[in-house]
Amino acid sequence: MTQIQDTTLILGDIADIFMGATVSVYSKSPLKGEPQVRLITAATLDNCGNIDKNRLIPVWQHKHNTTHFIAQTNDILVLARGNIRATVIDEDIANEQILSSANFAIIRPTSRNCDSTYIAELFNSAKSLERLGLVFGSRIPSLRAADLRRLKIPALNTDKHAAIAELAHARHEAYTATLALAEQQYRVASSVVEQIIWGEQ
Amino acid sequence: VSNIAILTQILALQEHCKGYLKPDDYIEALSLFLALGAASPTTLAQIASLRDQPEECQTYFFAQLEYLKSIDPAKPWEAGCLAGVPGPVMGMLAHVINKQVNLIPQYAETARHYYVKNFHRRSRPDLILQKYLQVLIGNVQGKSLLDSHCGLALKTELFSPALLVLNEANPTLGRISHRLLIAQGIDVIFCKQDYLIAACTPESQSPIIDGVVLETHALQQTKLFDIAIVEPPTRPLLQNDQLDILAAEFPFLSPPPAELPSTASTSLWIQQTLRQLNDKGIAYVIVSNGWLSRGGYDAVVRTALISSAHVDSVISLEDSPSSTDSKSILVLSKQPIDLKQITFLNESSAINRALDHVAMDDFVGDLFKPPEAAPSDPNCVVVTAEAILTKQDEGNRVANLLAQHYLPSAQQTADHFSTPQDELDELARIEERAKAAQQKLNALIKKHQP
Repeated sequence: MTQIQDTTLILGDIADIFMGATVSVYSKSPLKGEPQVRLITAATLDNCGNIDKNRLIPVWQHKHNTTHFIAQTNDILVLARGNIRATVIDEDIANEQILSSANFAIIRPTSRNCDSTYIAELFNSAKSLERLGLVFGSRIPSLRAADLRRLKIPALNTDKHAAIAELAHARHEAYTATLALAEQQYRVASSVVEQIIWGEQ
Repeated sequence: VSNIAILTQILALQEHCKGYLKPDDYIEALSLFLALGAASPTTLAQIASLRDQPEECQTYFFAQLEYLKSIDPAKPWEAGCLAGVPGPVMGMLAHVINKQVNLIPQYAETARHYYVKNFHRRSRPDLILQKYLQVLIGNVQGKSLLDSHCGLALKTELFSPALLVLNEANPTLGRISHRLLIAQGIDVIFCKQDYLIAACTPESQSPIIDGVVLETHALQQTKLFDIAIVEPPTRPLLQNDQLDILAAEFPFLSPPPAELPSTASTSLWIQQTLRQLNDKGIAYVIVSNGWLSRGGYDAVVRTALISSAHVDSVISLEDSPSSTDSKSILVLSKQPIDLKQITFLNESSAINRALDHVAMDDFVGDLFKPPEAAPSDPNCVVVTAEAILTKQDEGNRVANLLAQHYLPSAQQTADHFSTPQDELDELARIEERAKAAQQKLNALIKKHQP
C-alpha cells in the first residue's frame, strides 16, 4: 500500500532556485587576465548523476558579476532538459570552480529543512519525477526555475533524511568499487592474453 | 610601516581620485608619481606645494614631464591618462607621496602586488608556466637576462641580475612596470624596439656600451645575454613592409628561402634570440607545438639549429600533442652541445602539480620544488641529433622536435612502473574494497527496507 504524505514543503521556500549561466557569461577561447573556471554540461553527468571531472570544459568568465553561477558546497544541480538527473556538489567538487551551464537549474539550500541528498534523489528517480508531476508519459521534459520554485515535495523527518543519505552514499561506493573491479579484471585478463600471444617481454 | 598600512593608504588615495581616474588608470597615475618621487624629488615637492593653485600645478607638472622626457627619452614620462585630470587631484597625489618619500620603494612594491592581483590577473596555466620558468632559470645573480614577452616584468623581485632587459608587448603593463621599478630603485632597461627589426639594424659602434646606449640599442647588440626567456608572438602575421626589410637584412642562421613566409615570426625570433646570447648563453623559448613539427621554412630553421648542435632539450608541458594552446619549451645553447644529443622531457605532471608544491624560499621567493628526474624515468628520453635529422616520420615531417613524438604515451609510462604482480596485487585490493562496499550496501538495504 502506498503511504500518503500528510505534510508537504514548497521547494522555493527552502532554497534559492535559478538557471545556470548562458553563453554570454563565458568564453571557450582564452581571455587574457580573466579567471578560468570549468563548465559543467549534460555530458559531464553520468546516468547515475555522478560528475566526471575529465569532462568538465575549461572556459573563461567575462567581466560580469557571475559568482552566483559558481557551484557551492551542498548545491543541487538539476539537469533540466532531456534525461533529467541531479547531482550534489561536495566540498571537493566545489573547490574546482564549477560554472553551471544554462541547461542546469541550481538549487541552493537556504533552510535546514533542505537536505541536498534527498532533493537530488527526487530528481534521480523516475517514480518521484512522475509523482511530482514533472514528467508525463514519454515526452522529453524541460524544467523551468519557476516550476521548481512552486514544486511541492514531501516533508520528511531527519531520520528519513539520514537513511536516504546513508543509502545513497553506500550505493555510490558499491557502484564505483564494483566498476573499478570490473575494469581491473579486464586489464589483467587483457595483459595475460597479450602474454599468451607475444610471450613475456 | 606595514604593507597593509601602505595598501590602506593606496586605496584611500584611489577613493579620492574616484570620478577623475578609472581604477586601472589610477595605478598608472600613481606609478608615475612614485617614479617621479624617486627620480626627481624636488619636482614632486614643487607639484605638492602648488596643490592650492590648480592651473599652475598642472602647467608645472606637464612642463616638468616634457623636460624629463627631453633629457631621457627612454624613460616612461608620458602623461597619458593624467592629461584631463584636474590640478588639485594631481597636487593631492604629489602631496601624499611627497610626505613619505622614504617609503616610495615600499609603496611601489605594494602597488605592484595590488595591480597584479586585481587588474593583471593571469590565467592558471600562465601562472604555472611562469613559476616553472623561474625554477628553470634559477638564480640569475650577476648574470645578464633578457625577458621578452613572457609577462615576467612584474616579478622582478626574484631577480638581482647584473643587467635586466625587458621587452613587454603590452604597453600599459610595460609603462607601469617600468615606473614602479624606477620607484623601487631597480636598474632595468625596457626596450621599445621591434624585436625582429632590431636584428636588421647595425650594432652600436660605441666603444663603451653603457646604460644610455643599451636603452636604445639593447636588442641590436649581439652576444649580450647569459639567459634569455622569450615567447614569440604567433599573431599578427608579418606584414609586407616588415617582410621586405627582414628578407633583405635579417642575419639568417641559414640562407633564407626565396620568399620569406608571413608566418615566419617564430623562426625569426629564435634566430634573433640565439644571436643575442653570449658564448655560454642559454635561451628558453616558449613555442607552440605546431612550430616543432611544421614543414616549410620552420623545418629549415629547425634543421639548421639541430645541425649546428644548438638544441639542448625540448620540454613538453602537456601529455597530449593535440590539446589546444599546447606549448613546449625549446632550450637552446649558444655553445654547440658536445654529444649532439637532444633531451626530450615530459614535464606535464610537474607542471600540473606546480601550484600544489609551492615552497617558500627566503632568497628567491615563492617557488615550487624543482622536478627530479630519476635515471630510468620514462619521461626523459635522449635522442641523437643524427637520428632526428635522418628519420622522417609517417607525416613526412623533417627535423621533428615535437617531444610527444619521442616520449612514451601516458599508458606506456603507467606500464613502465607496474609489473604483472603489481597488477594482481591491485586486483586483490580492489576486489576486497568492492566486496566490503557491496556487503555494507546490502546490510543497509535490509535495515531500511520498509
